[in-house]
Amino acid sequence: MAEIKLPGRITDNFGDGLRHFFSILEKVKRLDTQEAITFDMSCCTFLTPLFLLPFFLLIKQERKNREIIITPPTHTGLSSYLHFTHFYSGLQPENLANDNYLQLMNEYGSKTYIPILDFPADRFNNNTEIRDSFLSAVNNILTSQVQLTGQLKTAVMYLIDEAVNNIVDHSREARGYIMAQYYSANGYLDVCIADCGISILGSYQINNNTSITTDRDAIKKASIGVSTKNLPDAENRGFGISTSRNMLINGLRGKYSLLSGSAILIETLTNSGIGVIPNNLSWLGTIVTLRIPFANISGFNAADYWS
Amino acid sequence: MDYVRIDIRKIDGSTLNSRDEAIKLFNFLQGSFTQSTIILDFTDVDFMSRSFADEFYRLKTNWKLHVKKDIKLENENKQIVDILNAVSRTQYNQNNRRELNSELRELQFADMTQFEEYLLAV
Repeated sequence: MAEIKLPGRITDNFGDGLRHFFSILEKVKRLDTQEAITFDMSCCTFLTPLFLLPFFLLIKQERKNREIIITPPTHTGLSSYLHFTHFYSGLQPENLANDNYLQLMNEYGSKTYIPILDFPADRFNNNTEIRDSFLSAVNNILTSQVQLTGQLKTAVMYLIDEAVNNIVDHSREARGYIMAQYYSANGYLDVCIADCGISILGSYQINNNTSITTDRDAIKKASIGVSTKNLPDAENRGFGISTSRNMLINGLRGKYSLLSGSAILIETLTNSGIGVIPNNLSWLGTIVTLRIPFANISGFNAADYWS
Repeated sequence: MDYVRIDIRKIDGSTLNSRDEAIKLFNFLQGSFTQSTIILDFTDVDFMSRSFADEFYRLKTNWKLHVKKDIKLENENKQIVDILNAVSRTQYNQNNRRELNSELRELQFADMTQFEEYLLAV
């Protein structure tokens, strides 16, 4: 059995969560595909959603092929945090009775986080209604937690809706995932939204767009608004990512990353680009991370970024 | 005027998040209303996502072509007006795309150390 030790803490740097995630992913990929792994979290003291949600999904994926054991943190604060954010299992809205679900969602209104929500991403049965109800609840929670109003509220709702709807429209995956944490002292909200689907390149290819052949090109095309649907009546479907980037970076002065397959787009006001992850590492699916600051936004109007 | 007023909040709630909610609304409208005008009342609807707006605009355009009834919108807030204006400007029109790609440079990482250093610096 292999043992992988997790970092003690994730720093405030936007990319640090993904940095540690890739470091762990690289160690995992070096192992035999069926070798059992112990993830040792005993020394961890502070972990953020931008690390925790990708790591949660890595565990979930790896458990399909091998035994995974987690040594929990000894730090009581982090231990409680992992418990309350449902790190070990994820929270599936449809598994709660309606009353329990509404009550639970109301309770999160007074917290500073949204736990790991494992939501239905397909259109079967009543999953659409479950998802819409959960999205409304998430928006209400954020509004209540961060006391969002006006243009900022509109922007946050837009950013989350776009990322979630991209999973529904493009991932071909039954589940999507979201986790968020509001850092009041630092004045920002970190949000991670992810899936284990066919990735952006897969979405282009499945829609017979043969001119796009790499993950990097796929991210590039998607990020400037080229629809994966390749249909005249679907032109607007490609607009979400470009609008989100523009609104978050230029409007709110936040930070954005999009990981899909073997490529990653990172964008801040001062540092933007698309690169291929070294060592043939890749993520089968898409992970979006957002850092949304709540300062210096006077004059911001969300509508300026919609078209 | 011969009309029926539809309370959107009762059908789709106060946040209009997805394409499916727009489809649900128009499936509802396909019902047996005899009135010549349908008023969609957006009172207490806080937010309309781009996905909803895009699907809503497309369905409303199709409705205009195939159904001999008017649809009017009332009491929509500024965000709803803005997002519907945005999709009406961009739907079917690729020329409106923002040219953002020129801002994005190609990142080259020789190895994991370089990649991790980059992430730490962001």
